[in-house]
Amino acid sequence: MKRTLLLAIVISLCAGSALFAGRRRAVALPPQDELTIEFVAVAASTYGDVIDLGVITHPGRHDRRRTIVRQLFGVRLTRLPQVSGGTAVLRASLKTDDPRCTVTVDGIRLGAAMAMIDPRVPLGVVTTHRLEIEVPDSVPEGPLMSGIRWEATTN
Amino acid sequence: MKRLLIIFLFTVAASAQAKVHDGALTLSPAVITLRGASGQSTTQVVRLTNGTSQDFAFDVTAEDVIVRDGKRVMSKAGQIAGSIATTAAFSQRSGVVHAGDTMAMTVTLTLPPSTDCRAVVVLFRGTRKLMNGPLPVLANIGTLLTFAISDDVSLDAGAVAVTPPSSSANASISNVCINNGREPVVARGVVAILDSRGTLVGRAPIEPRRLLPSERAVIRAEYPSDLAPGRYAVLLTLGYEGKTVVQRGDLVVP
Repeated sequence: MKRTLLLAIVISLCAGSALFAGRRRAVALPPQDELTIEFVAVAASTYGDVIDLGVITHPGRHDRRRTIVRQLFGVRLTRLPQVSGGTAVLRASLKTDDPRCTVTVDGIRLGAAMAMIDPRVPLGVVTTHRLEIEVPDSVPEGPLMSGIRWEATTN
Repeated sequence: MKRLLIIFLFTVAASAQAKVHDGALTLSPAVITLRGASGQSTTQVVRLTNGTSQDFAFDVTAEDVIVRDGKRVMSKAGQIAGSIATTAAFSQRSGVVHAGDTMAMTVTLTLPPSTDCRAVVVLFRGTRKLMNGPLPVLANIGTLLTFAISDDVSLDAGAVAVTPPSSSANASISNVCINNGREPVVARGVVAILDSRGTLVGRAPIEPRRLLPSERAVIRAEYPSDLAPGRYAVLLTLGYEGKTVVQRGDLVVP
């Protein structure tokens, strides 16, 4: 009786697994690790000379007048457990492209599409990036831009 | 406009007096390596932790990672033939992770019957601005998933380039590698430096490097210790998926 019961359980388990198997699952190979993105404002006391409060003018060329804002800021990408020499991809875009101003990060012009800032950002350290916003004086008052989108993925 | 900018900049200057560290967004796992066959599907759990002081609202998407001209490029779901990203099914397409909370969600991906694509990024795209000091930022963070469906792995390691040490720089060894197989590989290895008698005088590790099919990368290592003047042989050994590639170069220390 016990043997029959055991056989029945085994058959039903096998049948059940066959019925519910559907597609075979691919096998994931650990390890489980994590990627962190962190934005770090860079102290003005250290980099105060880079924050430019001035207005660049071109005497006699009113149509060339413009205002440029520059700021340094930091992004730290971290991977745990730590990967020696590990890197990650850092891309950026504007949330909405604002044709009234030009925004660059490390000299790379940003738009609505993601732009590669650095394909191999070292992990675990703050990397400093230079944001520059250029606005012609002809642009009327109003909010400049809605924000910069940063994207980090593992290499 | 100038007035507005000046106000903005004073705000920048005032708030940048101290370093701001307003927490971080963490995604786990950062990378998932999968092995399977065409037609198989996989369901993975991804966890997002919001370590900032603000709620993080997001949409989640998948994008294919392809290689063009030796470099990785991300491609929106469905834009390439055999897109894996287009098969992505998420337990939820959007959500909010409150400050300090962790949210887990699942993504199911199916390998199309015929595809050259071998990697996907699952991206959490922030939809609400986070303030980084005065600057509004949006954050995307993604998990890389790679797929291997065959044993066709091959790495083409180019000639070794060796730069002798100088008073201001270590000896450096590099070579250009191309994954000319059909599957992703992670190459790792070591550089061995032998003197003229063939005796090992030093070694330097090569950091692991993931290469998708057709991806090209410069593998580098530095040898930080001093070397006596003379002629050395440099052996660069790369291992991947149980295979080994060895390249030889010469180093002359003046």
